[in-house]
Amino acid sequence: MKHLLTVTLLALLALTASAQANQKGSAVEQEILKLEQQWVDALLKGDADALETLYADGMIYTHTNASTDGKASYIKKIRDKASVYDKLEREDIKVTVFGDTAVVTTHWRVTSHSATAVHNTNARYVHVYSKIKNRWQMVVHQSTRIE
Amino acid sequence: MEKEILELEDKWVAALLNCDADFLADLYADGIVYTHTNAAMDTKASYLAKIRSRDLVYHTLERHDIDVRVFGATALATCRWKQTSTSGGVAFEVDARYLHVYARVAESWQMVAHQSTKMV
Repeated sequence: MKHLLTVTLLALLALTASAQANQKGSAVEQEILKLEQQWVDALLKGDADALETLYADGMIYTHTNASTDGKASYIKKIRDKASVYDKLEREDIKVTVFGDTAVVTTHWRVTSHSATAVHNTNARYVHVYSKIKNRWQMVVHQSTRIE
Repeated sequence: MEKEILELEDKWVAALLNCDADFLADLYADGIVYTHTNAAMDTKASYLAKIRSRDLVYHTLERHDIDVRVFGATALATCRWKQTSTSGGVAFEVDARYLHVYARVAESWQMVAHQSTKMV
């Protein structure tokens, strides 16, 4: 009887621990989804200050045509309105957390313009967040055109 | 740390060219997200099945401008790659930039994402 009680107690403890772990996973996912929404809002508003906070120093931004920007060069384009986002839709968002690294993938359709051209993009992007000094920061964006 | 990532990158190339699915099974995290140059996606299981069955075979693979950055428990490797491969009986010539993301989980680095973007 005592043995049965011990086994039951251990099983209950394991279940509680597993539920807590799931909850923790989902809390991180929610936090990352919130940051993703902040990113979309920042792009549509041309809010360079918000991007300064979201992007880690050293982040790499690879556009759909494989050209690359660093944090400073990307934010300058936003501040100078050299790159303006007019419309941005996302579908099929998936967040996967690996310890202090979170990977977001999504299908996005975006309309943006520069002084000389309008770009319509239908692609999949990956965003990676790293927990740096106890805060999730975006360390990379890379987009791939859907063919 | 950068050296460790560069070594894993070299081993990844060797594994692709040798169809070494067992090495890839160790390197890839269970939840790896693999996005090909045409934006088609694979999971760990579907990608490894293609390698094991030789549905996907890499013939040549060259890399240039390799850059590794480490942010705490996250490491990024980016480079330009040119590769020739056969997938589903179709020959591909790819000139693109890829991103590899590594996460340090339980004291070891695992690849958690691959994404490739065609040079335009």
